[in-house]
Amino acid sequence: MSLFSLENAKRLLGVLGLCWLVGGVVWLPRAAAMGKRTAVQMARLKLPGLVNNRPRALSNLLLRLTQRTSIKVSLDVPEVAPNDAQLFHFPVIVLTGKSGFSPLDAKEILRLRAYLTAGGLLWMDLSEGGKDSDFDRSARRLAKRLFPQSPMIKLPQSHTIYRSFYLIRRFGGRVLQNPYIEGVTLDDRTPIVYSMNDYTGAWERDMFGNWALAVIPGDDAQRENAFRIGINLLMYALCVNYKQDLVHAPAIMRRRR
Amino acid sequence: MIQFLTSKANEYNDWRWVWSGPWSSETLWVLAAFLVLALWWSWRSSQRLTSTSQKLVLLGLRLVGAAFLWLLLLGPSIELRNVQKIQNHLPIFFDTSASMRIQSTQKDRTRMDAAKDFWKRHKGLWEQLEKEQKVHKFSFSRSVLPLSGGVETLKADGDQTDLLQILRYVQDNFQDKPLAGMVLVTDGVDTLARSERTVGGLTQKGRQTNDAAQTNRRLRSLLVGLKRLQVPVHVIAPVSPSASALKDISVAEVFGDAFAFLHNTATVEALVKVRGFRSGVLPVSLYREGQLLKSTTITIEPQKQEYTVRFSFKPRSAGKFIYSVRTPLWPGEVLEENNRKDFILKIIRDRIRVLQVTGRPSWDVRFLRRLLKKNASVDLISFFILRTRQNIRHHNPPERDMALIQFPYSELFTKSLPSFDLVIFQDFNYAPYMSQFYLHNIASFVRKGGAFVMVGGELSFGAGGYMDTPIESILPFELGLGQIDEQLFRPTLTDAGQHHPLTRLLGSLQENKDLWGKLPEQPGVNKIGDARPGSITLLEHPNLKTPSGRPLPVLSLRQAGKGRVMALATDGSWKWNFERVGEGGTKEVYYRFWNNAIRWLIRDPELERVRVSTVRSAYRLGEEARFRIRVLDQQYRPLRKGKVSIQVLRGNELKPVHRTTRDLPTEGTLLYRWKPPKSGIYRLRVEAELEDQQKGVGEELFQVMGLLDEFQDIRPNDAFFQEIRRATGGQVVRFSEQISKLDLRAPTIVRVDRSKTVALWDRVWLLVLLFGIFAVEWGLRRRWGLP
Repeated sequence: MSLFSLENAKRLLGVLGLCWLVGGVVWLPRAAAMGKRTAVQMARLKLPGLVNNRPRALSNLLLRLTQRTSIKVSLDVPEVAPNDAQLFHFPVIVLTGKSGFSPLDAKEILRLRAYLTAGGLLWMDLSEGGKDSDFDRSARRLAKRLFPQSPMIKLPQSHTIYRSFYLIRRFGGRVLQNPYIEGVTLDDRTPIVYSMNDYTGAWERDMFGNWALAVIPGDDAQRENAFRIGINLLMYALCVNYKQDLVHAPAIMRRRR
Repeated sequence: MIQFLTSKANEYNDWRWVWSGPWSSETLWVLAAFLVLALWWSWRSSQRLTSTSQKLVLLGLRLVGAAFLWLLLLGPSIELRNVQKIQNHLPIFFDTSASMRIQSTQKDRTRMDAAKDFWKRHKGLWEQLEKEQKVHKFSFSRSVLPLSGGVETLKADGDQTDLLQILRYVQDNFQDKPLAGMVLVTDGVDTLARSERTVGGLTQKGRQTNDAAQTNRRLRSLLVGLKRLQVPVHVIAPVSPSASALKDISVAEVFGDAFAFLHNTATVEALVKVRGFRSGVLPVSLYREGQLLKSTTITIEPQKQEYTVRFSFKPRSAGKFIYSVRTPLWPGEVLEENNRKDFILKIIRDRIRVLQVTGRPSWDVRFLRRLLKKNASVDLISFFILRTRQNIRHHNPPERDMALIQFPYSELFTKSLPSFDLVIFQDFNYAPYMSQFYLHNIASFVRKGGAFVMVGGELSFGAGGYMDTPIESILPFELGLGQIDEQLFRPTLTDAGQHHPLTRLLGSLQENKDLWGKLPEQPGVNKIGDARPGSITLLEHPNLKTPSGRPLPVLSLRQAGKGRVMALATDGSWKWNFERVGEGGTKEVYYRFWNNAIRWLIRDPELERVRVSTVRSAYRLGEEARFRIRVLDQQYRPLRKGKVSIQVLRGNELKPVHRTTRDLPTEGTLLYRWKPPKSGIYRLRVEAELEDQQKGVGEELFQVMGLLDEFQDIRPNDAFFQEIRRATGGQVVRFSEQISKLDLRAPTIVRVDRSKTVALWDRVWLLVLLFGIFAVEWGLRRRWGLP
């Protein structure tokens, strides 16, 4: 096998990518705020039987977030169960998967509802499959049990999620299944967000730093749009309706035209 | 005739007829019918005669006889009387309102002096009237009072003129007494309607149109009442100067609402009256607490006497303040007092305007913004720095893809800064965005009464580069080198923190202390220096010390100039919300903590420790003003021991008109009374030494109504005088005139001291005369052949 084979070239690129990733992490302004605990951190919601098939996606998103915005993040993405004492340490939790999951028991539902009502945000992202897939049915069932009075609906284009940092005009994701995001809105806040474009798949890298999955139909812009949606979503979790303040309205409306 | 009828007539000065016949009216009617019948019979029987003269003689004799008989039946008598005429009453009313202090021209005497001179010049007339009438002298302004001293002792110091009160007084006190007339010594200026519709010196909007109508109604009622008395009412009045001779400029009224909203445009309108000046440019200015706020000019026109000047302004501080509209004193003016009009304006917050500036989004920022947004009384403007220059270097997409706006620091921290009540710097380092010039503005904003909060984080305090900046000078503690301690900790309440309303989250001391001991831990702390003198530390670190060895402050407060500052040296207060819910608690603690902080920062009156309130906002001159004074201890319970220093200042004068000290009563509330010597706006200032070596100050404004209203319409009310003259038949006499008499109603009521009745019908000669008449008739009838 030649030293300059295509495989070796790929490996070399992978190593360089890893170095870049590690370098990026080292470069992060770890000025230690009030320690790691104050940095913005997400957690993955751990449910029985649901495999984490996008293990590096959220760290990648957080990395982009801290590179592009002033937000200070912690790249660790722990897993928390609904009944964990740690749940309320993470105001944003993410649920991804391709399989269905068992219904939560009443105690878990109550705790999750308390979490979301108190200011937490749950982002569910469908990894594989389409409408009526196992995960899709399980996610919709969970949302309905959490807030039976508030149906999950398509978030309108005027929703703050689409302008909390980037002005979103096109949707990204590993697949372009839906040109919208759904959500459950309580009063003026949307504590549950559901996407079916496998955004986490678009963010996932392998351990060498390569994109783990190709985007379909596929170009860099589609992946970039996926990151922009993710950054907007985290910005929304942190700033809620900040961009709906009147002071922002004229500039945003001008650029939207 | 009377002498002829009775020999004692000389002993009496009056007489009258009386009828003393014993017959009832029915009997008299029967007798009258009988006499008529007798006359008819006489006439009928005389028809046999051919001579008409004979018929008439017989009828005449019968008629005379019947008349005499009828007269005797009625029993005529003469009542002789000794009678005495009763004197009529003459009330004289002297106007002692302050408008009698006005001079017609600058060289003239005051109206009161002219009235006294008139009285002196007509001494003989008054002495004559006092002999003929019962003269009663009264003074009147707001009420009618009998005159105890002489006319020369009168003073024109009444704060109000109620002319209608005179009528009521006469109706109540002279109801059963005969009046000869009435005398009014007055300029005829009625001011009651004006005083009734002013609050704190301001005329309420919409009520000004009622003023003239109300005064007219009052004077109309007075005229109707005087006419019903049916006696002449004489007016002795000041000389009415010519339009050009009387020179005066007055701020007659200021129209507006008694309160205005902070940071919102408030408008007041001043009615300026100009008399005697035909040209010129007159400056009119609005002052607040003695400081010039706005100024404008009016151009005097020859035929115009009233001008309306409108002032619009944005109040920048909440509370009660003394405002005044002033015009300069022009040469030749007869009065200086009416060239300004003071009024109290209460500035209230419609909403608390908060500016939240953060260096980066974080959970701490998110939960505080959410709290402020949900507070209906807060008007929030947030600015989050969403990306830094470093971020832009790394990733800079086209602007059209970004929902970002420029941080408008220049506008925020210059022109717009005074429109905020509270500025929050949350994990924000200023240096990348703006210069220290803007920090200077913020410090100045605070010293003038604004509120400032700095919340911790790696971009705050020393770590945010605030050492040796104007912000450091207003913070409650010294800034360290910017180090941060990352260890979890649970802050502990200091002694002051246990009692202070800001950290008082539960009722009892112990419950509150226990609660703070159970709240979620904080993720780290900015290592700052010692608390500055005069600041209060409410929370401190349980382990860490300042460089001097004192416990590290975590939450401290400070009064900086007129404003208040709070510094929280951690960025984890959000955990008292979100994490506490996760632990089974509620987010109520977090909400209570921050809402308490906002109330303290904006000086919610409920959190002031020296509270002064007046029982009424306006008092009449001569009336005692009453106040309630409460001083609270550290635990916000009434302080039951200690002294308070009380000062009363008039208007914006610096020197108190009254000063005293009082002991606080054991019941906690001091009731204080004081009688203001003059009209105007007053400020009651109470200072108390609090037990924590602090000095507490409370203030209240109140108005003493009076004299200035008397100086608004300074011309004598000539039209009203003429209407009195026409309605009552009285005279209008000027102070400068000389008169020899006043037309008064003659006495009509008499008193009978002695009387005697002399009967006329029982005289013998009258019976003989009657008999003779009948005898002659009978004789003639026989002679002329009649039966």
